[in-house]
Amino acid sequence: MNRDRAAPEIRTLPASVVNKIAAGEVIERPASVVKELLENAVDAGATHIDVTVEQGGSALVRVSDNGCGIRADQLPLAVASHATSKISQADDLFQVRSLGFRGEALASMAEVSQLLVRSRVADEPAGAELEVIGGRAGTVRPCGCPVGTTLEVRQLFFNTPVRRKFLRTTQTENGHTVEAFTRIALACPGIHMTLRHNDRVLYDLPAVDRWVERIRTLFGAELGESLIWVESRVEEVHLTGYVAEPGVSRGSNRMQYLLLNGRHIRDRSLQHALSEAYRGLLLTGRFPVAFLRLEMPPELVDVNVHPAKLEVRFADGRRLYSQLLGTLRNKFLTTDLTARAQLPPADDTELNHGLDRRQAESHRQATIRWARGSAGEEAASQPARLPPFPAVPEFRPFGADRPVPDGPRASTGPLAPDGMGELPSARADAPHAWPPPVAAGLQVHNRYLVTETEEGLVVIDQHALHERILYEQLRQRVLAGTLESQRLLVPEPVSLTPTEIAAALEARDVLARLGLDVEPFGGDTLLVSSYPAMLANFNPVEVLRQIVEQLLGSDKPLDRRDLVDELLHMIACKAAVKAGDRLSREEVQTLLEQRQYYQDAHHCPHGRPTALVFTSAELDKRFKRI
Amino acid sequence: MKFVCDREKLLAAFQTAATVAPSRSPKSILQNVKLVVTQEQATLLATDMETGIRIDVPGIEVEALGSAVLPVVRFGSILRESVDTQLRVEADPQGLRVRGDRSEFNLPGQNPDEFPEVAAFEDEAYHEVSARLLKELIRRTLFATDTESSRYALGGVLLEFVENQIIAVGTDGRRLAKMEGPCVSVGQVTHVDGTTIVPSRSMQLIERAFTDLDATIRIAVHANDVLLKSPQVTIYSRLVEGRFPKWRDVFPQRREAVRIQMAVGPVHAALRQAAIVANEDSRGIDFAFVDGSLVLSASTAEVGQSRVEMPVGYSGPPLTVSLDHRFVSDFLKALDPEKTFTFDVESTEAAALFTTDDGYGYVVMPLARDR
Repeated sequence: MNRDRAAPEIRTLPASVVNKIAAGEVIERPASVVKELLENAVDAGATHIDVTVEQGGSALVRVSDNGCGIRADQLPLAVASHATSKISQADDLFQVRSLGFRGEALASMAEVSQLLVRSRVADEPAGAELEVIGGRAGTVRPCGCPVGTTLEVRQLFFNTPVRRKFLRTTQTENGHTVEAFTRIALACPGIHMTLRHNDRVLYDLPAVDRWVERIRTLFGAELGESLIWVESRVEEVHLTGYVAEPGVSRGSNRMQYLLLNGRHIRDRSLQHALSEAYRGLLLTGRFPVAFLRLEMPPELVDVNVHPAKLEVRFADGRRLYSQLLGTLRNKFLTTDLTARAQLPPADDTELNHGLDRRQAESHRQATIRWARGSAGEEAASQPARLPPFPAVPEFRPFGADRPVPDGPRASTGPLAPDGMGELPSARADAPHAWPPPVAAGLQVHNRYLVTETEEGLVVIDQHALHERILYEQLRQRVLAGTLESQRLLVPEPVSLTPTEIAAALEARDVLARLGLDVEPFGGDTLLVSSYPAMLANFNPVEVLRQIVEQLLGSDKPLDRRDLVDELLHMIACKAAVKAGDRLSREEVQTLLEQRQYYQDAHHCPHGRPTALVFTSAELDKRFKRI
Repeated sequence: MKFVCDREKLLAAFQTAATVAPSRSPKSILQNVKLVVTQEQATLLATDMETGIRIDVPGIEVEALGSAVLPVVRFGSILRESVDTQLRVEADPQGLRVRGDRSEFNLPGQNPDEFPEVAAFEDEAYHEVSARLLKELIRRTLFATDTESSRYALGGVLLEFVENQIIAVGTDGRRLAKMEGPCVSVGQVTHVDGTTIVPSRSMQLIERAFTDLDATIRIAVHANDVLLKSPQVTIYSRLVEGRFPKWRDVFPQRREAVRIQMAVGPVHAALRQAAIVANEDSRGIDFAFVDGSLVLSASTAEVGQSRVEMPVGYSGPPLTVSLDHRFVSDFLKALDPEKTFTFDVESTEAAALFTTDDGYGYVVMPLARDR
């Protein structure tokens, strides 16, 4: 550093630079424009909103509403920064009842695009329009237009080429745009909303009275069928909404919509509460689907935390956590989950109905036992109406001390030969090999295999172990050969959400190398025209859905090998013996002999542990010998 | 009810009827076969509520009219194990008595009136097909169906009747088998296309139950069910609900394609050889046509490679298409080894079409490899 250098001069930045910096925070991509404009329309009391998007929003976003409109003399103020009609003093910040309040969005947008606002209030005979290009406002001109406001944002980021370069493909941007639209549409079922992309109608959502109708039109009837209503009120906090049955789950938490006073938010703690409520009902790596609304007085929450208001700060986050978790647990306790999730298909014979019912009943009992077990302490501590949900006891399926901690192991990839070191009994001289079994195995409850090793007692999940073994065998065979792809006589249409479609189309080349040919078929449909031949027993629709979830759930772009792995998991899982299958002594023995061939046989491909080890030292301790 | 029967004839009919009766059912009376004896004939009835069968039993000497419920397992065993040529059967509310020359069995009786109705053939308008053709139609299309498809109703064989033609189609979305043959319409029949999908299980039953090849089968199609009748046997089946793909759009109509005449037996033999190295993950066999010969080859990692050459009448640029060997084998198995068929191939990506001169066509979508 050169000490002789003159100190740089400090100066106030011109307004346009300030706005450009602010735009970077608020307007990240076209989807942000859609979100901000839609929120304005909702705040204006509109009952009908049309959104038109071109080229994923980078060419044009137009939002027209029939709300209260802006008076002609106010138009220049509307696009000025820190000018708003929604709050007037600092205290209002803690009483925010509208979606927006910062007075920043329009100004930011105007700075980085060609913006046109056209508006008319009900008692004026004509409307007025104002054009702002790259922050330079024109003059307000009279024009003819219906009551309400139309805002057009063209050529977003035209004067900030760096930002523009960071935009992804049209499909991805459109996926984000649709997601922004979905969030608002979900929050406002009473508003008729339409979304057009490149002249194609993606959504036309009529105003509905019942929230579930809106959910159904947005996410499909199949999902709509599986929703369970939940509701609870603790003091001033009112929680209502729908959660999906455990039979319907997703590979990521994208389908968890949390609306706080009509505003879509993301909250890690509440998402965690949701997963916690489903613990034991979903497989590892699966996420529940939920649409929840929280209503609370505005002073209990600070929404002025995040520029896009996606994150908020609660006055009492812990209590909300307990309320959500408690409400769901209580609901599951009283709901016949499995029977509804496994309704047999209509063409089934009576014979199967009988069997399914019995099975379903036993599942149901198991679920209730599970829920009782976890909620038992809760009920004991508060026999009454459980009003404040002060603390929900942790659900511990393995008792207080779990012999094998599964937290760190869940992240172990299929090929990583680590994890052995975490076993309490691992020996230094043989870190990567199972000691050969010294005794015959025993199958218990048609589900677990129990055997003895030099260290102690091992309990093995038969399905997980077999799945692992099959997976390894398959992987060797497949990676050594070529993948065959079977073309279909009639392409299979698959309905996906716009985000999923965007992801699938973006990864189209990778999918094609996998043997999965997809092409867009308009709206929410993709056509699958060929799929991997080794998956003959799978429905192509299921295969694609699984793969797309994998694509969405991953942070980095997946390559062919990752996806092949995923397919192999599907095959292995389906072909492996299930929990509940009776195995002969020879089968048990063969399974146990094979486990040592696979270096990390103590993990099934899904990351669940395949085995628990009780060392003899540990057993001694339990029996109070030492 | 009282009668004397020819044991073997009753056994044959009883076994066919018994295939329809479910082995386990919450409605336990279904696990029986009902016998109705009238002045004119004796008829066995069985149903699982999805399909139903009525079989007329020959060789019965009636002594008293009536009906009885016969338990499938026990009564079947008596018929099978007995060595007498004739058995005397008596049924009344107390039970069922079967008497041979030196043997006697008492079985508990059930009320025949509780047995559900099994539909009889009463239609005035129907189609007539020879049993020989119908069985061939089923044999050549049934294997291509898929009971697990969710989007389409592929779990059965589609029947269509057009201008004195009966067409049967089976597909699983990857290959499609179609067979047509002559039929005669009697009375005012209405045509409904694409909805008469007979479940695979019923088709199997039909193929097995109509044993007289020279008989004429009457087929009456309704909105939700179908009835088939030969002089001795009537079969009722519910139809598969749902849509069948528009198979005519899938069936290639090509003029440009290369058509190669081949004999069934040698191709099947070569295919079986080439497929020795195929397995579950690698099913493709390359059919490479070069001047004057067809080369079948396969290659599977850790298993090995195969190459089988056979002479064919092909001249033109080399052309290769990769097909799932089991799909091709299914087609060849359905044909007489002495026959010939036409292999119609256009390009590596386009569907391969197999046809015979007796109205049979089979489309297979190719496999793509080495991406």
